[in-house]
Amino acid sequence: MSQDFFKTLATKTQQTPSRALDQRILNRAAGVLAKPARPWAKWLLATSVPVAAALVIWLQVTPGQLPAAMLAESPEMLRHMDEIELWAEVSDLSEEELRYLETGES
Amino acid sequence: MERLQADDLTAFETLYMKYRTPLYSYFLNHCGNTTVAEDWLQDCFAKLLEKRMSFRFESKFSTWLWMLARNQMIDHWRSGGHQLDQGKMTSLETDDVMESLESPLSGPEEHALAASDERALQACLEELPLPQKDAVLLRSHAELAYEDIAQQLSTTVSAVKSLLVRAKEKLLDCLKRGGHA
Repeated sequence: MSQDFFKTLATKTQQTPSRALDQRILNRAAGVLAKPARPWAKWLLATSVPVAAALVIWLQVTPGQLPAAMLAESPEMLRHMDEIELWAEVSDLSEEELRYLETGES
Repeated sequence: MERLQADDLTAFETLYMKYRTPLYSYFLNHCGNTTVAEDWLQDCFAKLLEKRMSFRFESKFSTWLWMLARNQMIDHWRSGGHQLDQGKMTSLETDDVMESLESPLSGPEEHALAASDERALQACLEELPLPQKDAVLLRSHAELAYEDIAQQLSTTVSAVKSLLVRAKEKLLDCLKRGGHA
């Protein structure tokens, strides 16, 4: 019965590795696969750099842009700016000074 | 492969037992040295473990494994100062090629191949130009489809068929001479 040339060739030139080699390869694989997985280490490395970069950008950008955005959205705030400034100044007063302002008692 | 990606040792053992003989035969028929073939086999499975997470299930596992094996063998060759010249691949007429590749062996051909001993066959394989030998070993031991061999050799399917036809003719001719050039 005729056979496929390449299958016959494979059968005739087939060689099997030694049992000792099998054992070496399987032992090595067992060692590699038994290593404790540290997914958190990879996760930490992968996330720390972009998070740090985003944090820096946010800290630098928001102080300049957030008040401007708030003012643009809240024209009411502009009309009460004097009160806000007064409140800011009042907030710097000590407790005794505040009590004096509120009750007239020193 | 999914189980291996989850670090399942039994999955590795299953894959190893399935591919150890074809890979070892492929390496041994390429280099002709058992020590070197054993080193290559060991390195190949080490590479499989190292790269297991990069397998994306977009191709057949066997194609991916043979690509790892072949690339690693080429690296060894290059580190040893050898050149892997794919050579000039010429095409034959497709119909002739397919007829020659897929037809069953004729009586004298079958007899020549069946009667040949391992040493004669090895000697005849050694005579083949490297691209032909590589194509023959990928077809016979890896049992890769023509398309997959073409991908491995970075060539066309028709060029692979040409390589195989020429290799088959040379091997049969060599075997008729008892393995002598």
